[in-house]
Amino acid sequence: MSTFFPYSTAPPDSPHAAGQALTLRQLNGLVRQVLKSQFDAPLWVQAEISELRVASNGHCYLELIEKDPSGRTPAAKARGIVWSRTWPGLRMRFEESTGQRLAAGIKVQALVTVEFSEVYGYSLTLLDVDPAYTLGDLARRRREILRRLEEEGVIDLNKELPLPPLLQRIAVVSSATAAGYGDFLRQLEENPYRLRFRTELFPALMQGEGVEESILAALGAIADRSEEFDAVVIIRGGGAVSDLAGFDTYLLAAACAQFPLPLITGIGHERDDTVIDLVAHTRVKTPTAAAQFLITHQREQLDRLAALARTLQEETRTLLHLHGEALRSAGERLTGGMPRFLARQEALLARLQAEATHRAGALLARHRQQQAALAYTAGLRLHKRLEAEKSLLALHPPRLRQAARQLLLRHGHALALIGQQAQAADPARILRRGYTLTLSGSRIVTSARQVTPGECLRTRFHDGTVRSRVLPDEKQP
Amino acid sequence: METRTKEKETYTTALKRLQEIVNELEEETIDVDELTKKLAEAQRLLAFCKKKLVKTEEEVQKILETMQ
Repeated sequence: MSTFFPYSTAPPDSPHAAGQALTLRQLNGLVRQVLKSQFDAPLWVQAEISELRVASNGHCYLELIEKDPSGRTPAAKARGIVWSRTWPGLRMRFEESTGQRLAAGIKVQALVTVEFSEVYGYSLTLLDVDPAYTLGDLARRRREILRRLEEEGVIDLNKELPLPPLLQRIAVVSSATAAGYGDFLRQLEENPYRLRFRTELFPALMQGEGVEESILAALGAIADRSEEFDAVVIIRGGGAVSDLAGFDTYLLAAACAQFPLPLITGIGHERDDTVIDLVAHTRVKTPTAAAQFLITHQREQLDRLAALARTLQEETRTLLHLHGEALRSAGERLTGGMPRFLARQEALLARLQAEATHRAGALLARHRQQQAALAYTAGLRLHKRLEAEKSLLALHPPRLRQAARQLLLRHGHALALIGQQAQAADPARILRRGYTLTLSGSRIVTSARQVTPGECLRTRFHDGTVRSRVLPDEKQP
Repeated sequence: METRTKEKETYTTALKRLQEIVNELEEETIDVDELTKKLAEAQRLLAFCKKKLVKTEEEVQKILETMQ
């Protein structure tokens, strides 16, 4: 080390005598010479850009910094410059390789020469920047953040939120002046399906210093009113290059991952996803694509409604058709079934009738049979009885004949006697003796009192009859 | 805020209800007696949901006028 500062310890033989003070210019000149001799060739240095601005003269001025392990306080700082003749080419090469703008917040590995100016002091001139280092660093940083989110178990939380059927009330995190924001609004407004959207802008810085804080504040404001929104869209102007380093922070990624509403990012970066792209619910390339995503989602809802309407129609038709068929077949069965039913009833009746007739016949036959049996029995008895009587009678004739003979004999005697008596009483004998028989009509008059004057009487004699009329009495006794 | 929440709920519930009716129809569990009623309800729900999604002719006309 001592060789770097030969004059301070042992002033050499020089125009400047010992004890004689140097002018500032002399000192700075010496410093410059020493530095020049020690750093005679360009060398690679790794640092973070903390400030960067391109002056109107085309030179690019930066501040390089190295933070201490806590990441908060600077451990080293240096001014840097990219000369205007180097800057355009350097910038282009870097941006083409990384897709990343050279800006504050990114780490670079730069080829520098160490400069010292008596007036401006220590500075570094950047001759080149290695894109691979920056890419590697950004990737490493993202990996780090993602690993941490994963460990905390929050990395997929936003992705797992269900998209509501209605994505209509959109909170937009963007810069009001960003071209991307205008594109987004226009795309939404001019959607061909006349879908309605309502957006509210929560302004935030989308590049440079303060991106993290600004977006966190916007997200905080949305979270306070999360009931009023269906989703959050984070968008920024597109372009091939951007300074996305501001998005790759742990705090922002953690806030996004755990955000209560679905996040849709359209950060406009073509090469790499930022960590918030990786944790967001849906990631699209551009603000226009973000609008298109919303339109498509709503359009799907329309289609879903249309499909439901179609299904309703079809199913209703099917249902009505089915019911119609059922009715028709029921009707057919009814009309077809009626004659069958009637025929069945008739057959039943006929059978009943036949059965009844049969039963009646059988009953009659049985009765007849019974009667016949009775009659037979009765006849048999009668016959027996007759036979009995006959045989009884058969005993009688001889006795009868004898009895009759005796009876006749007896009667013969009686008759002979009666004949004799009858002969004696014969009226003709009496009449011949001079007696007459007076008759009034056919009545025998036996008393004078039996006749009335004028009455015609007949008087029988033994040899004839005389007719006479009764004269009135001459002298009534 | 409350009405908005309710609106959101209503679209979701309307959609759900619509799906239910379609399911009933598909499963043929719907009564013919209820069919007309259900269809009318479905039609109303459809109109409601569509109105939520899409600006009506009138509104569009108004917007176009203000643009001129």
